[in-house]
Amino acid sequence: MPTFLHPLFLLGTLTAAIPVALHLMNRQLPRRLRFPSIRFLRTARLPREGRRRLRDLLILALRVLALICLSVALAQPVRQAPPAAAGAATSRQVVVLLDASASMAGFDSAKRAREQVDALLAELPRAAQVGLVVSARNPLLRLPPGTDRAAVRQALADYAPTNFAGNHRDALREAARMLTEPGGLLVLVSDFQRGDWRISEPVGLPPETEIRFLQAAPENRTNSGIIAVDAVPLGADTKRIVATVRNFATVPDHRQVRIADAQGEQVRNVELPTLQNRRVAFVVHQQAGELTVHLNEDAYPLDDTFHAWAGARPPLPVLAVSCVEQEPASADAALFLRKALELHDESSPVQFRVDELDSRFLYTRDLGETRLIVMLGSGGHCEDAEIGKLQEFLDGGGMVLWTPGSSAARGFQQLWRHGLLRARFLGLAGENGTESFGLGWVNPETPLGQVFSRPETTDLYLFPIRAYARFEPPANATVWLRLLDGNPALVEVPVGQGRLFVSALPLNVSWSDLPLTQSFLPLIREVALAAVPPGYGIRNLDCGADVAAAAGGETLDTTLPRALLYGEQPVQINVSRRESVLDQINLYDLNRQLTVGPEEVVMAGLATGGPGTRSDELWYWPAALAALLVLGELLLAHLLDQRELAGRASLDTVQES
Amino acid sequence: MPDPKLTELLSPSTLARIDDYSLLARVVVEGFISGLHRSLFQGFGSEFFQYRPYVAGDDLKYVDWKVYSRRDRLQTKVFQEETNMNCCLVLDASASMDYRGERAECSKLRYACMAAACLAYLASRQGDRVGLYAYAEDLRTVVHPGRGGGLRGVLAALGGLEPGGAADHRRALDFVSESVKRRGTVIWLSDFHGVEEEAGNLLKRFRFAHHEGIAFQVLDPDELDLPFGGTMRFVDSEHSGEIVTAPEEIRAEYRQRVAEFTETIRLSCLREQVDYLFMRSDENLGNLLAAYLHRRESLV
Repeated sequence: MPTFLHPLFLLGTLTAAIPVALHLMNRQLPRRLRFPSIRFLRTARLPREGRRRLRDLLILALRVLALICLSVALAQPVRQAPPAAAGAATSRQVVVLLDASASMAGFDSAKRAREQVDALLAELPRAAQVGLVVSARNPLLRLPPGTDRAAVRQALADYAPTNFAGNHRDALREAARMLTEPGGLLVLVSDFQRGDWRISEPVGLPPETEIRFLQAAPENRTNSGIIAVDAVPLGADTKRIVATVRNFATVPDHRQVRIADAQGEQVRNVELPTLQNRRVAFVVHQQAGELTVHLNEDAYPLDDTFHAWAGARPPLPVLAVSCVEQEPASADAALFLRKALELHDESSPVQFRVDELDSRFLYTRDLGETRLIVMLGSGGHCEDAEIGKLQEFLDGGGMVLWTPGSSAARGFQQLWRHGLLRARFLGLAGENGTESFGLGWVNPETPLGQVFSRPETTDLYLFPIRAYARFEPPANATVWLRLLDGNPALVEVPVGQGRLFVSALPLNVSWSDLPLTQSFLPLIREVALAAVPPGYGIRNLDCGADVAAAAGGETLDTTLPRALLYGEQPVQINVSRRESVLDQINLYDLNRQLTVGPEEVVMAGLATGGPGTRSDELWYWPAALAALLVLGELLLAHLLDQRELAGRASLDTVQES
Repeated sequence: MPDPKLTELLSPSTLARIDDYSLLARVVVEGFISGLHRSLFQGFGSEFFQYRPYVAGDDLKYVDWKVYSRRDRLQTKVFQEETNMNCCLVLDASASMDYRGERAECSKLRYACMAAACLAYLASRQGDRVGLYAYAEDLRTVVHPGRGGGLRGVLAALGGLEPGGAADHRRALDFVSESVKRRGTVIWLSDFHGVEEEAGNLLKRFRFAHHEGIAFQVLDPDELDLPFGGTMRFVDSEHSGEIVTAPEEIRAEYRQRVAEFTETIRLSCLREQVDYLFMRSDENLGNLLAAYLHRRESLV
């Protein structure tokens, strides 16, 4: 039974009355002529009325039909299968895909979803076969289509959102497999959060499957949540906690951040502009590893709590690369380096672990876990392969501390050749052994500037320097330390995603007494801390994430949010903040993604309502027919006119003769 | 036979484009008729006065051959000719005369005016006085013979005529009969609708007053053969009547009735010794008048 997309155009069929009216009017209005005298005239039966009527009626019929067809075409008829009446015997397959991702826990979306599915079950014919798929990051429940509604209703009663981020691709495939017959109905009940409905390929729906979207989330939602927490040790039991709060909505928000420690609860107010982050800092006294930061609850509570790990983190791997054969002093440098970095410091956010390596084996070393490489004078003795390895390491975000050795010149040359440092080597200062140098300046804008904010109270400027590598740093270098003569002692340059530090002094006592000073330890540790990425050592997991069990260990349960030590690895498990985002996928796009492919799938509608229907466009049929009728009318009128004119011409000829 | 080229020049399509009746009449008369006929009314309307002996050079058509047969003597008839005879043109200017069919180059009134102009010119050229009495329901224009400017006045009056109204023929002719005293000719130009039975009678009175009456009937070709098709609503020009009919169905009958109509007029005129000429408004006026004059001369 056809319906019309623009039914108002059907009023155009009334225009078919115009030619009818004209036809009738024309019949009643013969040609008028003022004649000298009508005495010799009499009334007569209208001649050729039958023929004229037939001709006029035929043309009239063509015109009327053309107008009607045109109106119908403009109304855009679509063919629809008749909707199933209540109680009618139809075994249509219906599969409901119910979103159980974490975002459904907010805004009463879950409650609304239950109500919508209930209403749908009530509307469906009794003979319809109804199936259910509950999905979060994967299908959680599968009920194939059947006539028994009890299981579906029970599952609906048991339905509750999870803590998991949504990914309904597999659930859609599952639902498609359940629809074994064409012409079925797929109902998606969700808040249609954009991140949950990323579909990159067709799901394999049968032909003529109808898709209906039931929106469970209300409009005009607002939400803010805690997206990250960093814990920096300040002392034995003191930690600085920095909570990052984000406003996911397009209206400003005002919230309160709370944290509890051994000494009580602390509250901070935070103003959140639209779609922006704000940091809130606390100083807490806590020994335990797990720390919980709270935000006053809103309509979506799962992102208002963040479970953070404030305990110890695994040590940062440091690789000390030396070449004892060419640089015997590098062994001393490695010793000094290890003592400085592996000193346990509770106030340090990260501890270090130093591994030593001969430069000859650098090329084959797996640098996957290494964050910092210290070249102890060995750079000048490395070949291109090793330098290339360093370059890859730097490009990948690693950090390298390059110290000079006996082949300083070659070392700088290597750095230049590989594009790591465009620094012009100016030679060794103090070669003659008679000069004495010293450090003279600390860049206050570097971490060293904070550590040595009052260098006069330290021995940083007091130790003698007998020799150093002079070089001219490139323009993009940041100078951390200078000698008294102004030459750089320590510079930093960015390389790829990593950072390269180049020192003018080795970490041994051959050129200076630096390793023997009290400043050496904080200097080296502060430089090494630059290699520690944010959040290093803590593994962040979303609830529901699959974690491979450690060798001989138990499987990590990520169902509930928490922070714990999994083996030696601190782990923070929180509800994915992707579920906090309020962006929704465009349902027309989703429909198109689901219907890509040879299947015919038609979108029924976005609102709740009765079962949709399949529709085929039919407008081209009446449009083509109208065109044919118009052409036929024109042709027929022309032919009949020609015929009549020919008849009149012959009559005139007879009269003249 | 008239020159074909001249005939073409005197076709209604040509004459209808000449608005100046003076020029028109001169074109027709001088260019076509004058070469054949000196006078429209030569010898006609004059009474026999006496015989006189034939003198060499006299026109043989005035020789009384009956006398010669009885007495064997050639005698020439002498007519009593009026030097200032009247030529009165009575012109029907009613609404029915305003009709023009598709085949005619002009309306009946226009055609009648052209004919009247030619006749007036002829009469004036031979010294007769010309008058015009145009009428419809009443006298529209009156130019008495010998007054109102003569030929010029008559032609000017013809140029200013506007048709309209219902024709009251009797009233108009009554007026003319009372107005015209001097002997002459009364030429009645009309379509004679509604007066076919008494056309002759109306002109007969003029004969009693020693006038000659001539009837010129002008009809449009459409009135003769009803060439229309389809369904027509005919509205009478002069009266409020109208009729819806199919001309194709009644054409034959109509033609017969029109033929009877014209025949009635002709017979009526014939009975009353009134000369009658039928004119179609699409006919060549020169041919028509020439033929008529030729016929008249043959009767004298």
